[in-house]
Amino acid sequence: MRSDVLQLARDLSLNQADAEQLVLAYSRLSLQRAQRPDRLLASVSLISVVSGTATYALPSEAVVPFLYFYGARELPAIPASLAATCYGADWAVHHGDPEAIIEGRESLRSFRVYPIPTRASAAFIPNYGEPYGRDFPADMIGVLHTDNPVDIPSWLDLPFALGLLALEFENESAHRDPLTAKNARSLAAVLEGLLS
Amino acid sequence: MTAHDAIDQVLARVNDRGGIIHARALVLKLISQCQQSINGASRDVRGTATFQTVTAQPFYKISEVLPSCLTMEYAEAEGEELNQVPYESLQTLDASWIRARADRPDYWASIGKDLLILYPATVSPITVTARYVLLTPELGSEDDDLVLPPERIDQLIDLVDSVLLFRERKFDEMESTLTRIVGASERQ
Repeated sequence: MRSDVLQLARDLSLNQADAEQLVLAYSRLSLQRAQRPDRLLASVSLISVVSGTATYALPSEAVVPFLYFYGARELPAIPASLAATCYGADWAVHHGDPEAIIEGRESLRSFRVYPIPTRASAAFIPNYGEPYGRDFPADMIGVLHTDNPVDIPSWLDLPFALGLLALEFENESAHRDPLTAKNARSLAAVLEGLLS
Repeated sequence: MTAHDAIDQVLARVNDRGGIIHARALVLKLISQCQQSINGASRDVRGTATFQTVTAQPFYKISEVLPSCLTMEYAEAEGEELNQVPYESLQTLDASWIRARADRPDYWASIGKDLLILYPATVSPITVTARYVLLTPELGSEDDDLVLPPERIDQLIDLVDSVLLFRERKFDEMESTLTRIVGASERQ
């Protein structure tokens, strides 16, 4: 729970850390963690395809997408610089069912599919309450991505609390303390190393 | 050993037997967390549990189906061991792995600590048995027993000690304790 981590960070700092800054640090650290290559916390999300629309926003909880699929198949991720080589100079106006993801043309929070879809996804009807089972629609785009959850798993509380203190004591403030920040970071790294 | 005894040992190490600087409730929380870390590295305490597959579902949140699992090590279904593979190789095994279905899965893959893939997904619910490194239970009171074996207790006390030394800003002492912990962990 976020509140447990924040309380633990305050306790470990002997209440020298700024409570509001710790809240901000929590968001920063959570995002940084999700950008790490270990993909410690990952999820699957489904995105409805809209006919005539090539660009889609990532779900709010997604940070780094690392696998896309449509129907039964993974979609290869093609750098935008190779799209013309792979699909021809006029690739951007091709239409059909999604075959690939074109990387690097959109913002960090969105992605583009190739070609432009001509069919919309069927309505998602949770007949069985099994979104990735029997209700799993065939014509939606699935994305596997790292997560930026509000509440981290409790086994990460201690290294996470130390990580918050590292960020907090690095900040410009009346209680800035680079030595404490450095040691908080090294202790957090040892704890995480043991867990992984 | 009970958590009570462990707290006493830790507080004695930092010359705070009365828990004046470090409240016993805080030390209990730290012991609980550090026990999880030590077991994550030593893999001394393992657990086994079963869960039901969902028809046609390849993805499972480990924290939901195996809440005491820290690191999954083994899976079997209907008496047959499932092969563990990196998730990246599922595409090589079967280009349509996402929609593949069978009576029972042949492979499992994990991504990070919380996402499990079973391939192929099952045509109807079956029971999967998993063995894993146990996420040691949180200590709720000082009467709770530690679950680490006796030979790991020194390492646990060292780790909690290092957190309290950090709290006291005794970084040189913390560093030497950490060096001992990392050395012990690398020898495992």
